[in-house]
Amino acid sequence: MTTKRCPARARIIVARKPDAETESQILEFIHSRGCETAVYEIDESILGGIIIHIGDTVFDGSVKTRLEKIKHGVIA
Amino acid sequence: MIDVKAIGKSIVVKINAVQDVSAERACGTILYSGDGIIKISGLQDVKYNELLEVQGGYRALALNLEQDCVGAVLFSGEDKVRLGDLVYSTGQTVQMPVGEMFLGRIVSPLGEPLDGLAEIKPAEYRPVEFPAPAIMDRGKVNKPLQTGILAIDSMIPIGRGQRELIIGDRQTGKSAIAIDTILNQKGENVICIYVAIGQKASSLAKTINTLRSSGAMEYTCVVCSTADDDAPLQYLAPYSGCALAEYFMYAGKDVLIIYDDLSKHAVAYRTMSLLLKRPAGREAYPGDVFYLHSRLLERAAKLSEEKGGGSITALPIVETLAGDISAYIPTNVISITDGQIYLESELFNSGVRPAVNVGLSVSRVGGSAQRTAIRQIAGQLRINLAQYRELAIFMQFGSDLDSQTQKILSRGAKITDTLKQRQYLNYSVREMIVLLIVSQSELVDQIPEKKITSYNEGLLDYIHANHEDILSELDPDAKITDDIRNKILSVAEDYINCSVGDHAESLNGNLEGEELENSSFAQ
Repeated sequence: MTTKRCPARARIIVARKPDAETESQILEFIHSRGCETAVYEIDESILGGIIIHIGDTVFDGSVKTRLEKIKHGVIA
Repeated sequence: MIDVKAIGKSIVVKINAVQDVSAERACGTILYSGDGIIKISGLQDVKYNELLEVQGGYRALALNLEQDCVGAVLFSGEDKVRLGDLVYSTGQTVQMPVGEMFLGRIVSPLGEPLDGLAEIKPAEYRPVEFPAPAIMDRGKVNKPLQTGILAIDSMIPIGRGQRELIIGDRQTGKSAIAIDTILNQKGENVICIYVAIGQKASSLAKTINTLRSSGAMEYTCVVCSTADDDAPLQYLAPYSGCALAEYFMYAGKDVLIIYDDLSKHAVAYRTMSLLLKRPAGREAYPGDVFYLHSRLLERAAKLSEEKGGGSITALPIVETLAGDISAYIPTNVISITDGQIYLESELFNSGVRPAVNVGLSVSRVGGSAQRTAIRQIAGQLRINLAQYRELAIFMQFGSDLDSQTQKILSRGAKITDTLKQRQYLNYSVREMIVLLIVSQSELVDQIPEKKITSYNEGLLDYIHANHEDILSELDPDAKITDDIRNKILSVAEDYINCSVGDHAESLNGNLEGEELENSSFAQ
């Protein structure tokens, strides 16, 4: 088992700037994963929700991805 | 009337079925992309042969796992991926969708339909790389796979579960033998899978049309990668085809799989390996090119009765250059398979079609699976032909030959002519028995040399029309009794007498005096 490098910064992609309460929840989450600070990026193409990059791991909770999954599920 | 409500309901059900997991996924970024190869940083937990998903919906296969990067080959989107794009691991190896619905379809090595027909809803997925059946799971090859080609079924018999290589130069009828074999499986309860690897789209279209027009697509699936497909797809094609074949084999069915051809497969793998900067070996092939084919062909097997008794018969095709069977890939595949059918361009050009070189072709397994009657009458055939070939060399010196030698020569030539067969004209086992019995009897002396082929075709038509009872009386799984043999010969003689008009013409034309003396009907 390799030990994963855990970077100090998490990259967070959102469609619009989150409110203070959400922000503190995000911080809590990334702290639980061993990260210290968060860097925010605004990307409106994800429509909503949040994508968190911590090192080699991605937590994709964006509306765009969910819609794509639904599209896949309905068509296939 | 369209029921909007029902449609709405089914869509809601489908949406609810979509799993909503904001899944935690490992991902990496592309560091390098070129020639269909990508290098990815990150992705530390990726496994060898794992399927990767590249941003934009493209798929790749992880092949080189190094300390700080992963080397992968792209199945598509070579010109679409960008530096810095995200690559996700999927946690699974490449899977091939499988199921009955693949019969009659033309699919890509990833199981996507290419024939423009309805989408395929697979019942199951199977990994394309799968361990071959263990020793204890295997049974004895004991049932023949009839190719319908007299030269092969009589002298180089193929059993179900065998791996028989078809080898020869370009344009010697390698694929033709394979296609004929597929066509001959009609009603035999054998599922056929034709894997095209790096073939010209035009020749593939021709093959598919042939299969369609003769109704063979009902029990056939074509897995194709054409020459313009990326090397990784060509590399994957035989394994995908084999995964599909295994689905049927483990369901207890008999499968015939054709890999057309493995030399192009080796070339595709060489391309990938060189681009991945793996060390090159002989003929610039990588070191594991033997394993590449051995692990593929080892999956062809006959399962024991406890395991359902299914089988995969593999007919790999290898193309040689200028008849050189000692090149790297041909020797490899010859040593892996249970025999080979060797086709020669000289024979092909001199009109012997199928251009099987009987001397160099062998079947190491099929003999035990051969039908009893065929084995009984074909046993002498090889020896006769070998004697004929030996004498034929002397004939080239043009010396005077005694009548005994001339007889052997003329009979040998007639047996060779009997083994000639038009493409798409397959003989049934009973028809083969008739032809073999007649060709080895005294009767052939009465037929002029050049007329054998038309005589044989005429004889079979004659028997079908007037003496169907003889064919139904023949039991391929029992020894031929003298009684049956005599019946066949007397019918054959009748036919010779019937068609005397045809023969008289040709006899007047181009036969020598000595043969005229022997001919009983030439008064």
